[in-house]
Amino acid sequence: MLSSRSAFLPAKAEGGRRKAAKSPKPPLSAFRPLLSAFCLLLSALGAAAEAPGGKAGPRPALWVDNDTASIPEPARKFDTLHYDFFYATFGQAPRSFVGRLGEKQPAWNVNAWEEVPDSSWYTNRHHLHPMTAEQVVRGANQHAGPDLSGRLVILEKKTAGTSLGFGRTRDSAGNMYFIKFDSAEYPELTTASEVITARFFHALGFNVPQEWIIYVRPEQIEIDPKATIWDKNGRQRQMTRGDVEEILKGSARMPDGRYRAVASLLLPGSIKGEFRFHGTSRDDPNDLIPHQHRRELRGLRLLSAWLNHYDIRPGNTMDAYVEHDGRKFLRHYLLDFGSALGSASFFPKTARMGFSYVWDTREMGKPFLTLGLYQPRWREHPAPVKFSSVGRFESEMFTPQLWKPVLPLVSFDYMDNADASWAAKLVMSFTEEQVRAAVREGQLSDRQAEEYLVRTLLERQRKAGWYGLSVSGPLDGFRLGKTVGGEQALMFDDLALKYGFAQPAGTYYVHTFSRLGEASYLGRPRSFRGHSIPLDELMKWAGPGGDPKAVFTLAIAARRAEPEFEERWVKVYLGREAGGFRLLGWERN
Amino acid sequence: MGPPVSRVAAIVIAVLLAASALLAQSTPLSSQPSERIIDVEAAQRAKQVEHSFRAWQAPLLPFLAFGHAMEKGFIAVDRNHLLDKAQYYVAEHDRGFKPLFGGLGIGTGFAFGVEYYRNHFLRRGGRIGIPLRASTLLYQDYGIDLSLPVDSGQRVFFDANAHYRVRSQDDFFGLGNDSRAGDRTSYMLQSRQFSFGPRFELSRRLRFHARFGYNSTSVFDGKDARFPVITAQFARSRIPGLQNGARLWAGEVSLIHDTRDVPGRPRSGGYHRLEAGRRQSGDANDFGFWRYRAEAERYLPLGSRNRVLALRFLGITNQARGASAVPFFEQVILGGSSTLRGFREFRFYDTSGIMMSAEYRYNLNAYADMVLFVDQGQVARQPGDFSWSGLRTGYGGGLRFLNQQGTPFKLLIGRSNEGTRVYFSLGGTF
Repeated sequence: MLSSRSAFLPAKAEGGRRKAAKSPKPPLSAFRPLLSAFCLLLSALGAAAEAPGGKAGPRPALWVDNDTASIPEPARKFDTLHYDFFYATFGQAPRSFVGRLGEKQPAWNVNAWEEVPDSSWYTNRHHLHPMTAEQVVRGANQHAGPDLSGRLVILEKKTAGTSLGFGRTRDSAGNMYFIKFDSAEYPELTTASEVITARFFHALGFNVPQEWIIYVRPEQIEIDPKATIWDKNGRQRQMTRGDVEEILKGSARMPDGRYRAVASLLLPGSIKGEFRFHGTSRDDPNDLIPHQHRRELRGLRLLSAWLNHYDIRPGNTMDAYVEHDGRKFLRHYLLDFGSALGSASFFPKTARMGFSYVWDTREMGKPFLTLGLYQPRWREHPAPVKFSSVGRFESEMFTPQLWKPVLPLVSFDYMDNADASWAAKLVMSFTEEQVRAAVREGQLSDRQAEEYLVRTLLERQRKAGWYGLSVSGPLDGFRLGKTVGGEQALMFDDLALKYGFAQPAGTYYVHTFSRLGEASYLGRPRSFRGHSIPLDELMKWAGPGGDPKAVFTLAIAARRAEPEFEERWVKVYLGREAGGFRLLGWERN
Repeated sequence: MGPPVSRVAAIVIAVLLAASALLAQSTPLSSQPSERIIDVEAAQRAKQVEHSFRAWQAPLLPFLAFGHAMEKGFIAVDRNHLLDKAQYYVAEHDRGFKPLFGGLGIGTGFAFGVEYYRNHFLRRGGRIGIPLRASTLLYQDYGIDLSLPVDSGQRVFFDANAHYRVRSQDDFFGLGNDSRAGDRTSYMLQSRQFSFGPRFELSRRLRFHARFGYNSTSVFDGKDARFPVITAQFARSRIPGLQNGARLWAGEVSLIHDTRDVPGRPRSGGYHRLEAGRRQSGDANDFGFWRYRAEAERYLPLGSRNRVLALRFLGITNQARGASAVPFFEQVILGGSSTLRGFREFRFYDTSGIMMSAEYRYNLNAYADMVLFVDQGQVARQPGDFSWSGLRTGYGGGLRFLNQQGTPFKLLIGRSNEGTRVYFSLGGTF
């Protein structure tokens, strides 16, 4: 859960700081001092890793975190859903506990501009380099999809996961795909969820497989003579036509006799298994940032909440050993989005999904302690399944900060305000047109269902965006410019105003500045309106010459009429250059 | 004399520390590109710390080893599809053998066995099963069960079964509501029985059974060495059936009305059963009695299906004919996990008995219900002897673990004036 502390000192110095609106408190907040002491003890014992890069001041001005050096080929890791459950639910509890307390470090892989540099995990896409609706729709896809002019040859049955489909399947062009069908009871549900969510996650910057919705005639499907199947009796045997018929029998059949499916292109390189949401991989020397300290894996919590990607867990991730520019390294993928939006694979989400882990001690504790008088609203009045092709997907009860995936994930517990703010920017970067375009990729036959899905996504987007921006300073896009009078000024964007979460009339800003590590020069913050701060006063104070290595901190916060927005300070770092200042970056935590 | 334990432990820890240090050293850390967002050297140090064994973790070694074994075990299970295999062998198919677990009652030890079965036996919908089951406390049950549909619509069935059973150490505390807990003794029953009769599925909710059969039961001293045998505490002549057991012809009819939404984990509806039967000795013993049984369960949602008040009433009376008696093992028995949960199994015996339960169940999650219950019950010679003051009360609470179909197991704690009982058992109470 997120800490609501305002970290910057000037607000305290002012004395008349406004009473902050009450925000969701972390669990066990009453015991926090005690637990903090416990965590400090753990840290002292070496439980908490050293934090490289935790120094005060501007962060590295890097847009690429070069973690793609050649490495020896790592061993294949085998995932297991059952172990994931036991480990995530019980084994990683101490780590999650530390994360939930809020006594955690800021994410390590954050650059000077509070962004995540490109890496083998993440690529800045739509948020920083706005994509057109067509680019969003294309997603990761680099060609037109499976060649269905001839036969689809099954090389193995799909065994992982719960959905209906085939494992490696070769199209007429010789490319390999995984094929997944919709269940007969809920046509379009799985395939639409898979494709729509993959488009969003690609635009959000994650590595995802290339995926297409395809329509297959049964007679197109052939079985490779060497194809084997683990049947439901747990025995491996040669695959037969009967096996195909059985899968198709449980799958949704279109009126024209074809079967709708999603085809996922086999990932490039050599598959090495799942990654986890904490720690580092022993056999990947490039992997130096503990996964719970990767901003993209922390912020993924809010992104998954928006898209209701409930089944996000180690088993639905994949490392691939790829070759690029002569270097061989691991690239990290998110997979299997068939349980996102309103889908839980081949049936709609149950009322619990998104609100509770599979085994959620905290959720159980409330009814337990109140003798059942308290029951969460989602259990008492579950959202209805309005459209079978959409499943159970709603925005009214959706509360981003309370959203939960199938299993507790350490990196999600480590998401702090700055991570949430970063994720909120990503969520809010999609326009309605782009959301519509992505949803259209789901090829829902019912226009009303499609409209409902778009509307719900937009409503959830606003909730997720509001949450992320309200818990951290929504001031962003700092840059240096000139005032009308020709003086150097620091300009910025107010995302709360940009997205309509706050009104300009009730908003003003306060700022102060200091040398890095020293007390504020102004003594108390100065208030102003508008989105630029002339730097002439800072210039006078700093002197015309001065130490070129000196770093100045300009702290700025917004004050608003809307009580939901707490006062959150952003530190902007400025260095000296001839005749003025240069921007070194900014920081939220 | 071997080395002291502490020295062995110290050597083991030292070896582990050395091994972990070597392992950490051998972790390949190739030269990194310079442009990293982090301080590479510090991050490498942190990674080495993460992947090496630290001295303060020594007390956690058993847990770490357990975790490692769990991971390897689960991977082996998943990669070899062992759960699918297990499900295959546990599930029923057209014919074959399947394992049996439990089913001999509370306090019988861990019971397991195997059943040969054949579905669609003789005709579609028919089934024959030959279960062989025994427990660690030497309880045994071997038999044959047959069920055949008479009509093509499968509304009328013919059921038959024959069993040989041994209950090696059931408890007996004496007859009557005032029997003393301190008089606990043990006895063994050996029975051979067969029965047959039609079953009519009158509607989706209504069933009618008629059964006829024979039951030959012998009584011996129990095998529980912790307590006296029954004959050491109670005179054979004063306890009906203790001398020579009983050989009884039996006939009974029952009508069952079942409106529960999900029988294994009901949230609404009810279960009602009326039964009447006759037992008559087929040897020189003078045993002959009518048995009447009424049972009702109601499940009332309290404003929500997540809160349910479950109520149960059970009344049984055995009415002896003339001067006949009712063998003690055929009498009403109260106490234990399915009746009076604050008391031991087999705590109260008599010819008549009533029992009421109120259970408040509330949902914790999809897999567990919390339960708070109060049970009251009484045994007596005749229904007219029941009195408010004679009711024995037990109360408690616990957890019912759920799956889609029912309650695979439960963990309950019951309390009464005779102490506290803990039950961890298969199936729900009602």
